[in-house]
Amino acid sequence: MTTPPDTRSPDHFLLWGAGQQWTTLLSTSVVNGLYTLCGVLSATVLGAALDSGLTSGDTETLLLWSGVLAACAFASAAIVLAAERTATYSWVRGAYRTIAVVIDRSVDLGPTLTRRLPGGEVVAIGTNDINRIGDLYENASLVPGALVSIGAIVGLTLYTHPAFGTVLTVGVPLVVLAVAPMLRPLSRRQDHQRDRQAELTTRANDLVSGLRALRGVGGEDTIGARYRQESGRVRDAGMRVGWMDAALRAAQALYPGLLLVGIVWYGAHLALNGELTLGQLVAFYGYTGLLGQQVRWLTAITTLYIGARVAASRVVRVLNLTHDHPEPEHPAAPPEGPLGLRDRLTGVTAHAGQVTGIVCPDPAEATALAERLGRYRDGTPEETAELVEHRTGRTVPLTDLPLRDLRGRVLVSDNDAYLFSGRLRDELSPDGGLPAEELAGAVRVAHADDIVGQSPAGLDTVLTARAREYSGGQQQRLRLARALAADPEVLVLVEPVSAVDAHSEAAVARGLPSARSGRTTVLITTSPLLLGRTDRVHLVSGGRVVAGGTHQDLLANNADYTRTVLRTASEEP
Amino acid sequence: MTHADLPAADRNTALPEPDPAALPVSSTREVWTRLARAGREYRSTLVWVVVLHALAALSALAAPWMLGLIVDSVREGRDAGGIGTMAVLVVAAFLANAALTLVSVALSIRFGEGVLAQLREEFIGAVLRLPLEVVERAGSGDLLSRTGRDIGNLNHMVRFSLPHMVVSAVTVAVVLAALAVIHPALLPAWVPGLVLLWVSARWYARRAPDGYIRELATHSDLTQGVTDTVEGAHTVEALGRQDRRRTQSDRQVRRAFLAERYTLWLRSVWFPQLEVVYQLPTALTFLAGGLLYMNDALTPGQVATATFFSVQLAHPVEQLVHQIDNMMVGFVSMRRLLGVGHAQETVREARNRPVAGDRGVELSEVRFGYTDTEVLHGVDLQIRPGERLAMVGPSGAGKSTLGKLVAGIHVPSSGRVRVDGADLASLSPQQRRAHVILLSQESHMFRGTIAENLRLAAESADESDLWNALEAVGAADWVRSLPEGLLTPVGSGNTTPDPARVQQIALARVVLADPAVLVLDEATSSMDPRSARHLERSLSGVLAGRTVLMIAHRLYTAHDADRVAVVEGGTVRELGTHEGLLSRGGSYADLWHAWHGD
Repeated sequence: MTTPPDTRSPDHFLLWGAGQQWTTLLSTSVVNGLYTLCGVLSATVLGAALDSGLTSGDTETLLLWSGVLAACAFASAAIVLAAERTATYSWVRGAYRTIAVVIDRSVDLGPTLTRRLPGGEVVAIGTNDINRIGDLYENASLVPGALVSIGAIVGLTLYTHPAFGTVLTVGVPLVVLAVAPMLRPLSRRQDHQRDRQAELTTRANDLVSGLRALRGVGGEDTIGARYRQESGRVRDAGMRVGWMDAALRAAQALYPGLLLVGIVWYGAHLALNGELTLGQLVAFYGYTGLLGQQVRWLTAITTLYIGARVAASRVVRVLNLTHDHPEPEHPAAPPEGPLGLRDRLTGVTAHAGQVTGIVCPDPAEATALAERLGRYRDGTPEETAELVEHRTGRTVPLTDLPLRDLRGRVLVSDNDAYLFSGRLRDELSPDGGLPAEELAGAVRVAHADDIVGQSPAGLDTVLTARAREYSGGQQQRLRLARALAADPEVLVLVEPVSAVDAHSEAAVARGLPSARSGRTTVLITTSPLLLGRTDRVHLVSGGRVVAGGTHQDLLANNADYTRTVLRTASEEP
Repeated sequence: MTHADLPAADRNTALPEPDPAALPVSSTREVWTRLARAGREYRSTLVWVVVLHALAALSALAAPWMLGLIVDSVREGRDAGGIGTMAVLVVAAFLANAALTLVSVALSIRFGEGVLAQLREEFIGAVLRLPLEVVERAGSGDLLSRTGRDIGNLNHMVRFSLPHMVVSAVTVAVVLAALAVIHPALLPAWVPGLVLLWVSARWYARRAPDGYIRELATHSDLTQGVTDTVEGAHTVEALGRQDRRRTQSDRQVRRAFLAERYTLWLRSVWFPQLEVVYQLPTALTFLAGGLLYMNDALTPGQVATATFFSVQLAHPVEQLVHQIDNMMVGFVSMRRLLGVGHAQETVREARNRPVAGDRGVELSEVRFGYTDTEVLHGVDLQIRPGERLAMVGPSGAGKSTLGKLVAGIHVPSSGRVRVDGADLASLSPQQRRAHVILLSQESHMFRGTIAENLRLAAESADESDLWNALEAVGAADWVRSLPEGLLTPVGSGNTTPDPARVQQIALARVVLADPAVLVLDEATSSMDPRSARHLERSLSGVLAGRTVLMIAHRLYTAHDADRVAVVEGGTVRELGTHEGLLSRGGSYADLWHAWHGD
């Protein structure tokens, strides 16, 4: 049974996670309950052994009771086997479910995620926070066991000696409460420490991400010194928290210890009066030790909970992000192809089935235009682009289409597009794969044959993330091949050949129009080679179309256009 | 529990193989050496931790000791008057114990934090010395996971496991001594347990490190998967890759789970044995005590005390062993962290230093290949001092490789590369960069202010130097328009300017570094053509007087250069001035005409 994560608060999220794996948690609890009961039993047996086994003075009885004690040890061993397995599964399920929902959400959020949160924060969930959450689930399932054994001890002692039992029943919660007030300032300090630690991790991650740049130009010493400075601050903060930590540890030993002395002192009186046997006194002594242990458990879990809560709040932050582009309340009827694309703000229109070139002398304007054409940034209705049905002329604003449908029909591919790790074939093919000849066709049009041919594995070559092993020009051609292989109804390419050599640029320009025949293609570019192959070119400047026509017309008649497109030194002013 | 008893699925858990391109992992011995050094450095702190903990452990024995005395006095029917006094003494012992614990724990945390800070700073230091080619090969996922998870594990090991181990070992020693004081014949009760501990721990220790190394490697993959998903978020949505990313992450989680299952199997064998180690001695102590009592060697109270000493001993032994498990994980992490130190740039002995503007760049018969394929097949090329040479040619022809050879990042497999009379590969990165800088298209804005970003290249640069550099690359107006000017925070967590701006800052760094030779490897290709053009124009003043190798794909860059080299198929095919090559009518001329549409 899978329900969507409860993201109302970190606590709700943690509870939801527990609900998702309640069977694992339950079995962990049961097994641990058995384990602690085994401990209680050992103490009882020890008392009985002292009463009847030791004082009887006969070797056989002594051996018998020693045997019972040894049997307890082996029973515990068997239970531990099950306990370790269930506990590990609790951890694994808790941690990996968390990372799965975070990835799930990240995938849905798309660009919104990186716009709203520093990337490191989401990555930190994978490296750090899932551990804390896993730890909580692993250990929280020990709580019922602790409570059961506490209950058993209280029951046994109340049964044996009501007054004595009462002392224990009251004493234990007192001990728990006595430690509790120390937790609050400790958690405050730990928060502070964690912030520092996070800052340190961010710094380290930043340094690793920029390592290539750093190794190229230098500055390792400066960056290293900054890191050392921050690291020193974290160390000093850690030492300050250390005193609180130490105090907590001392208190955790002291309070149960004092309780123990009281119990033994009181029990000794009872034993002297004959109200308790010596064996019972010894058993009580054993119970008190066990109680102390369980209480320590409970407080340790409190600390774990504090850590997991911080982690969960980070998770919840990601899960609660809403997509920047809301789904339309009343989606328009899906437009029927062939489709044209029009930008309302500038009036630029790409007619269905044609290759349209758009030239913006101002690169910022080109970026903004591409974002509007793909709905990557919402603005006023006048700033929305719209699809145009070729047959009817009906227009559908992009904001009126469900986002996934829109993305399926209009693809904007720019030079920030990410190349994922994996087999080249898979990376270039759309979901569901592509017949070999079609994929080869896309690769050929993108003039990327040499990239595929460069490795003996061909299309089965494995890319690393961002295809780092390839040069910028090669990456650009891979992106182009991928966009062509996706074969969308409307394809918007932003400077698709800006990083490739002139030779490849010419080859792409030759093949692109026929590869896209019958489909709508928009080229936002200043490449004269590409523009020479378009059906029509618009020159966009200052938020409007200032000129339109074929590439040759504009070259002949528009000085601005010529300046932007043909950039030889002699022609620059 | 033997190996054969386990279900086949657990025994044959598929183990993901480590990636050969991954960063190195150091040996166990190095970890020990490093820890021993930390121990020597903090010797006095450690001595205090041991002494205080020994005293604390001793005071913790007061309670079972009191119990024994009470058992005996009750049996003999003596008055309980002494019990009160005893209780007061034991309370005092507990208070002492608390005070001792407080100080020793605080001291051990001081030790832990200190060592931890040292280790992470050393690690970052090693990361900063990684050769470029290693970084490119290994990818950032592995390094990021080492900086994140492994430092976290180290954190745990140094701050918790190590102090706990010391404390537990001290406690075990003290309690065993106390047991011997009651009666030496009680000690054998612990022999079977400790033997079992030794044998089983060795079994475990032989298998666990590899298991945990693999486990951490799968975590690295998982981290890389998350990083991919986050950094590629835009593309995931654009291409509708949502389901594919999910499948991918499911697979990575699955692999992590399988690796985890292997270590779980190891623990499933080991932990039950440990449980016997903890608990069996109690039964045996009781038995031994009982036998001694029957021989009138001990009182029942002493038997009770001894039995509870044994009970009390189980906890520190458990701690000790538990920490061994944690230490194992921490150890593996530490091996991964120290391993980065193995991939260091070897500082070679420089035979001769380059003299700026002396001889220019000379390549003779240079061959070079990655792994098994040769990329450059005997390149001869001279760049005169102060000359600007543009290199054009189809992608994959070996232009970038040539650039890296000139910058001394790669060493030719045969032939020679000399820059101003020196073999660059024989210099340290610092010396090399003082003379040659390679600027690629990939740049990074570091977390910090713009001024901090610029000063990476020249630490002592004053504000006017920074402005001059920004002016030179045409970024001064933009920076001036920022709310806090040079002090505007940028990079991760702050606003990151667009790639063109980032590259401008990178170029400004080069201006500040002021090298005699500059290799620009498509440094402007990530920008839109217009800003690239703009930037290159403003740069031309900066490049004057330097020997410059420009790897270019745009023909106007070649047009502006003093000479043009056409690289095709791993050799220099054409070399000459723009006009010269045009009149020759070779492949450069063809390209030029295609560009102009004629």
